[in-house]
Amino acid sequence: MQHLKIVLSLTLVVVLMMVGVFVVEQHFRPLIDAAAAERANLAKDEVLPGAKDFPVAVDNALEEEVYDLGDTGISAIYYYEGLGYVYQATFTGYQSEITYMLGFDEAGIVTGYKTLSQNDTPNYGGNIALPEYWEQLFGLSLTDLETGNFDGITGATFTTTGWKGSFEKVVSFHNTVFLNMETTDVTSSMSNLPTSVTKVERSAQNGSLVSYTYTVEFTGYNETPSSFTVTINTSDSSIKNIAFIEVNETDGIGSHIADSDFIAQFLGLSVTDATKLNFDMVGGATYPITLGGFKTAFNEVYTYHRAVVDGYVETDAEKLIRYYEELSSDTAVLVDTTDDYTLVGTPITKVEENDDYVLFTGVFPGFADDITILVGFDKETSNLTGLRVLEANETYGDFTTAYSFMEEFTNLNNVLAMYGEFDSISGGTLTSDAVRDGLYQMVGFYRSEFLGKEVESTTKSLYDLALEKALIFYPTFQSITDVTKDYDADHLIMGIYEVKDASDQVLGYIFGGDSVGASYSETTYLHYLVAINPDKTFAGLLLIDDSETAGKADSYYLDAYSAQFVGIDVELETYPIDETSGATITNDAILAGAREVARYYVETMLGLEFARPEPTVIDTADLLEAYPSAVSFESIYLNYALDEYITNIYLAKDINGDPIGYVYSGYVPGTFLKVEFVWGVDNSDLTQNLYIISDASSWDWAPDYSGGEVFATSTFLDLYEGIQIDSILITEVDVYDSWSGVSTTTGTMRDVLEQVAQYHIDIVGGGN
Amino acid sequence: MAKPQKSLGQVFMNGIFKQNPTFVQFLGMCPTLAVTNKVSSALGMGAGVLFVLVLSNFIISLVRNAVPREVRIPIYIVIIAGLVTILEIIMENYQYDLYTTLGTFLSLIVVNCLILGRAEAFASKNTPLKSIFDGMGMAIGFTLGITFIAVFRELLGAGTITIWGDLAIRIIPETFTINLLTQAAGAFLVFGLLVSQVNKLKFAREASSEVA
Repeated sequence: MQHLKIVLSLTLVVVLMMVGVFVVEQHFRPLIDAAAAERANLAKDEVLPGAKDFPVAVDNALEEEVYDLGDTGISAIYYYEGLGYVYQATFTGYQSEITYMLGFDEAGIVTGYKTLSQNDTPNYGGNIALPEYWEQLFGLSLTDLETGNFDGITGATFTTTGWKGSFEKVVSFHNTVFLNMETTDVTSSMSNLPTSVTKVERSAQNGSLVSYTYTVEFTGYNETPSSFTVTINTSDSSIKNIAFIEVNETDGIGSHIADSDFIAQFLGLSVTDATKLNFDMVGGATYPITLGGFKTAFNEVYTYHRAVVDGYVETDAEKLIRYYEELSSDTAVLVDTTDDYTLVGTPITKVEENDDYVLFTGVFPGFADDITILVGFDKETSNLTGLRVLEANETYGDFTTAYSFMEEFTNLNNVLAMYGEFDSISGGTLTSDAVRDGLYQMVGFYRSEFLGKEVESTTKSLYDLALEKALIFYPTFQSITDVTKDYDADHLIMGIYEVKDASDQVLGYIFGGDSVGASYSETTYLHYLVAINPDKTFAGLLLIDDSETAGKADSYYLDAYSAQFVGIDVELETYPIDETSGATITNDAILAGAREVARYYVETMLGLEFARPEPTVIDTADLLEAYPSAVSFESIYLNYALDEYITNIYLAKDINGDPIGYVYSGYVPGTFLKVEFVWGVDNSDLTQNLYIISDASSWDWAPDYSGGEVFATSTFLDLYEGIQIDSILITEVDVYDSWSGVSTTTGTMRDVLEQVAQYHIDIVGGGN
Repeated sequence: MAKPQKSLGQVFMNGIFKQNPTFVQFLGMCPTLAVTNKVSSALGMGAGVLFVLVLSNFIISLVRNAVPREVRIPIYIVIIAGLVTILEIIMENYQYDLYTTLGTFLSLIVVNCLILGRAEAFASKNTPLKSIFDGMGMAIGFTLGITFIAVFRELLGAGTITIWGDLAIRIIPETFTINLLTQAAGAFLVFGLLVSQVNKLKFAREASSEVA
């Protein structure tokens, strides 16, 4: 009986509640559906303004016709002739079905979007209900939606993927069904396709050709090619869009080429801008090798398309005009001022300029034949605006379109250009060296004529200078021979000249030296001649450039300065050379350079051990700043070769006495006094802290550039902490570049740290 | 000696302070942490709980003597689920925006332990009138509790107070807000801090009444 009571009461309650819910549902459901329909109508007007007042041509196309919707998720299509379309579709979010309405006009531009219903996680996928996430869609083209060229929802990857995927399906459906778009693979029928193009597709709408889509491969910094598609409108050869299929560039570096704001530049890119390759790497990434590789491939396919499809081939004259515009501006009017300059002894054949720019045309011997280049300078910044190869018959491919090489020169500092601080063309090292030589003279001419610097000596005229100055160092000399190639190369030594007397006895050697100098305005390199006798004493030293600050280092050019070096033992710990007042850093840089040349002579040429100064003792407190997790330190510098900027190397140890890493102490020749630092790196080559022990840079003079930061605690130094030490040696990474306005301090610091990093990898054995 | 009967006023006030569901009984924690990022959501949830709790208490109290003890819980749940379904339909019709905002958490009122807890602890043992007042007190106490949390979270986390719909009144500039408080972790933080203060008051009151 009790059991019956239980069953009956349970059944009764269930039935009563069921009836109650049924009654309520029956009453309210029509009202709810009507409200939903009203909301949908309002939503249609919201996503396609004017829809509510517009005579609807097709009120839900799905009711009228049978379409193969497949998995598009489309639940309604409304067409307002003369106004546009409204689609209602559903996709699966993270934890719910999400329904939205999308409106776009007949030109395919999005007029509105609204999420109608969703039940995803609040603050994550649920944010798809927030209008602030829709606003970015307004004004986008259907192509943007199809390629997912808009921001997703932060923290809602699954929902974002579904969202973008839904748009792709809806747009693809619309293109196929309503625009009668048809895409055909025509790769096999296209002749003389560039090797970078792997596929060509032709799209037609209602039987009329609308675009070509090329699938292109390019090689940037990494050897594995990346690939992208580029769609070109046949109506005006503008770019419809590009999309990256695969990016094999370094993560966080060259991979930025696939960033949405880079891609956005191409949407609707005009034929003029596409021909001029008028686009930049954006998003804080300027990686010339990746960008250059991309530009080379893009230029190749775009040139092919214009030639084959449009029947247009850029003439050499048009290309020259384009180059001039690229290196100056679209509206620049340049005047030929060649006759105003004495160009004898330079490779420059033409000078054209206006108030803002100057362009040199230069011809010099390459590896296989003469090379003609056009180099532009911005007169305000003195940076190169770029370099274009006009004529070359080199062994390396088509050097004239090597954008991966030419891209390096865009906005390149003239000093760096002059001293060849750019990457060679892969497989074209000798050609690149030829360009270095030519550029050295051309930039030197620019610096001489436009910046008031004296004409720089070249490696060829270095010999002439050595010959000229040999008399000062060795009054009885009879002959001088270039023996540079007989010894190992050194980045500090530009040339080695053996000086002999009449009886063919070696009097000594004259070295052309090159070391980092100091100036108020830019990172500079000091060039000097230093003579060393066979008994390891100096015969003299002379500066042969004037890149030091005018008025500060004049005395260093006088014979009296050189005379101080005569007879000094090259292995002394301190050279007793008087500095010139107010140019301590120049003096320090010269002496440091002279010591390195002397070390090279003793170790490399004589095969002896060079007496080296005692390593600088660094306070433990300072060492701990560089390596906080270490407990003790042991100096090990004497076990390794001397480096001009490293004053000591410490082995960092843990509480058990086991080595956990290293601390390098060093200095940077700052504008006023040395910047002394310590820098930790662990056994896996991960850098620790970069701590400034003493700082007397000119940083304080440029608060606007330094952002009010103090150098010793500036965020510039943070760049070198917590990274793999070899990452600062990747030349493509310009995040480690100098900071504008404080470039002397930061640029020189960067150069020294690169040297320390290279030393660690090559000599200490990085990764031990 | 029989326990003294509480008045309707006492029954009502019990849920507001002494046995507040949020800060004392820790019931209904799921919606407490999930919908208190905005004041309007908290108020909406409170209104929904009020509807369900008052009606479920009333109905369950009505049938308390007829329901076999062995199946009382399933019966209570069927009643509560039916009421929540009705609530959803009504809210979908009259307050569609609130309905979409509360989303899943509206359905989860069914498993809110406050509802079933009061059904078992009070409605099944008291008269319908008292059960109504208990339901009202508990629901309003719950609403006050979650709204109090929402005020803190929204004001300090977003700088605004949204009483209804999209009408957000900005009180603190955005740059001074603590974004963490609008996240789940912030909900726990605010709840913990407020509970500690409530307990502090409670203990102080108990101590002073003991002294008295």
